[in-house]
Amino acid sequence: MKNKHKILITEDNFIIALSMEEDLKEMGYNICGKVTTGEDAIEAARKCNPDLIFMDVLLASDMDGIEAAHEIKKFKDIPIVFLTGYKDDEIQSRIDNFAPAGYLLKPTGRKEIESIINSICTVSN
Amino acid sequence: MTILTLDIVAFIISTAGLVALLWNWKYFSKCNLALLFLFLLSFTLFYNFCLIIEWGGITKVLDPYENMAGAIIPMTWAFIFYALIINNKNTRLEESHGNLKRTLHSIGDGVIVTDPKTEIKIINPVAQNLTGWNSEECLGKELQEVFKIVNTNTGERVQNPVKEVLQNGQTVGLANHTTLISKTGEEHAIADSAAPVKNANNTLIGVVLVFRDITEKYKMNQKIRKKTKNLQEYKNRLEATMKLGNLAWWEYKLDEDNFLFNDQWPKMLGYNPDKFEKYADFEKLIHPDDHERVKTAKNNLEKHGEMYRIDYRIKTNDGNYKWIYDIGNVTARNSRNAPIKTNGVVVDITDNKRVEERIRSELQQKQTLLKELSHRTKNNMQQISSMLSLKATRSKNTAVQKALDEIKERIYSMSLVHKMLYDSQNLSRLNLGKYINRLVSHFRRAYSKNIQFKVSINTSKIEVLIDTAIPLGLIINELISNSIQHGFEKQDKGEISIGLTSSEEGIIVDISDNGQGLPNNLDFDQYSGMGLKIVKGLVKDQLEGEIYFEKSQGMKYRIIFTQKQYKARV
Repeated sequence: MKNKHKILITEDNFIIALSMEEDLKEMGYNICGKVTTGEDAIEAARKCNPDLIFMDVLLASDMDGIEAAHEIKKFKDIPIVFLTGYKDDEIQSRIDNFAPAGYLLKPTGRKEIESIINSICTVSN
Repeated sequence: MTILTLDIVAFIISTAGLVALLWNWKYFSKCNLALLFLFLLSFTLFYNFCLIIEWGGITKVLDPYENMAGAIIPMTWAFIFYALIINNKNTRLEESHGNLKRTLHSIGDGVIVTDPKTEIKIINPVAQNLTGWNSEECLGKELQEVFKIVNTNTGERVQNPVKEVLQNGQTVGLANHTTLISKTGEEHAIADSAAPVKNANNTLIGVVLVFRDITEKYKMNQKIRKKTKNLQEYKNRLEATMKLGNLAWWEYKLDEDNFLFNDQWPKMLGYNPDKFEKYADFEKLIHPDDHERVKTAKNNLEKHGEMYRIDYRIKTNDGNYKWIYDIGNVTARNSRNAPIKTNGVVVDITDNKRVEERIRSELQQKQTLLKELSHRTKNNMQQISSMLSLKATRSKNTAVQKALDEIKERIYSMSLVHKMLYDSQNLSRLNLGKYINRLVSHFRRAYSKNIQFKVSINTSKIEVLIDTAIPLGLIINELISNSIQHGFEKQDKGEISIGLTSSEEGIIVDISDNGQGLPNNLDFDQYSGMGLKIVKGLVKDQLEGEIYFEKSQGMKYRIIFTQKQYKARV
């Protein structure tokens, strides 16, 4: 899944997004977009057609990450990894309902990102 | 006296007697011996007349009867007296009879007198009016033909009381709800009684029936009964609803010092209502801590007419306290406009109070927790900072040390936000002016170079949320450390100005230095050093604002953004 594979990052905290971008670039991935809202995520997914999306659940927009994920799934089945800094029963059940490719609890380190990408790769391949 | 004189006298006397007899013949006729006396008198008269005129042979014929004539004279006198006496008696009888009749006629009630065979002997005008019968028509008729009575409610015929009186010989009253139906079919509700009339020998000689029209009274009674029933219903309804709502009413008449209230008031508290009479009975149950307040409020109501609205605790029968909300107002004033009557209602709000208390305590808990959170966050950041310090001191590499120091500074700007939130009363907003001032104070201490910091806060009222304060703090930190490191690289003293203003465009933060600025051939937008990259990213993404820069006698940066509405992220 390496080399020229595109990843879309949806994260409204700039610094965290920046850090994630640099980690992924170092791992050899292309970052086709860095967006901060659900709406922008849908548009970016349409435009750049990523192979994987890292989606923050709680966003600054009216549409949250899970809703955006549902919308994206309607037109393309892209694997989505949720990022969440806070989790309660409601969010958990909504995540489960969507059945994402995976999810990470923030703060995430490089190691966690690597292992989750690997697990997705083995599944899809 | 000669025999002739005697004869003349006898004649005169017998004439007088005869005249008297004839004059009172009406009364005499009732006397049994009336005709006999008439004959005797006439004879005596004639005889004496003959004697006087000595009429031919008649006197001779009558001679033997002279003695008889003499006997008749005293008889005549007796007779005259008898006549007079009887006359007198009869006249008097007639008079009293007449008075009786007039009395009967003027009685306001209906009077009917019957004989023992229930035949009507007397019927007075009122009775005639009510029964619809004339006196002439009904005299001699049986009572039940004239006096038709039925039960008002059922319409069934009722026996007339006269029969009962005749049977028992006792006075009888009519049953309630009796209606008299007149000859013309008119109906009158009546009340009456019948009594026996007895003669001197205690023999029943008749019955007197007295009755009166009580239609009006009857109707009035019906109305009153209905109104009373309605009132009672209304009262019951009121009491029931008040009970449901846990309400009770009270009324205080100041001029009479009379306290009225419904039973629900003491009942609500579990007491027997009989034990409560005056206000003092309630007053003594008020919680000691609430006493003064209630007294003051009551006083304000009664003396100044201020609306009375107070909650207080009152002791219940089982020793606990209930919370009561008491509301009252002045409802009547006297001619001098002083309050004379107050009315009010009491509500049991114990449950409400409990909920209120619980909410208040929960709120208090949450506020404490929030504060704690800010405190802990600050502490955690402090910890991180300390770890960095530890690492820095152990490292011999200046580059590493420098890097760690930079990070520490960034952490400081963030932890300061949490510290100030914890210190302030507001748990979510930070005064931006104060924050900048404190940040700058820190810079003054942190940077060893001779840097003059000038701060001008033009609006002291700007308050921002954490979401704004944190990135802004990082931005300011970044730009200032840039100025110090690059701008004053070749200088050992300089000046940095920070300004905060508020305008229509939004909040404006100006940062400028009098250093050397960026290298001439570098474009700010292309400059991708981490610090400025972060600054750009934070301004655009985090603050959704704009950053402008200018290079003239140092660097000038202007950041403009608007405070976003708070959006719950959790």
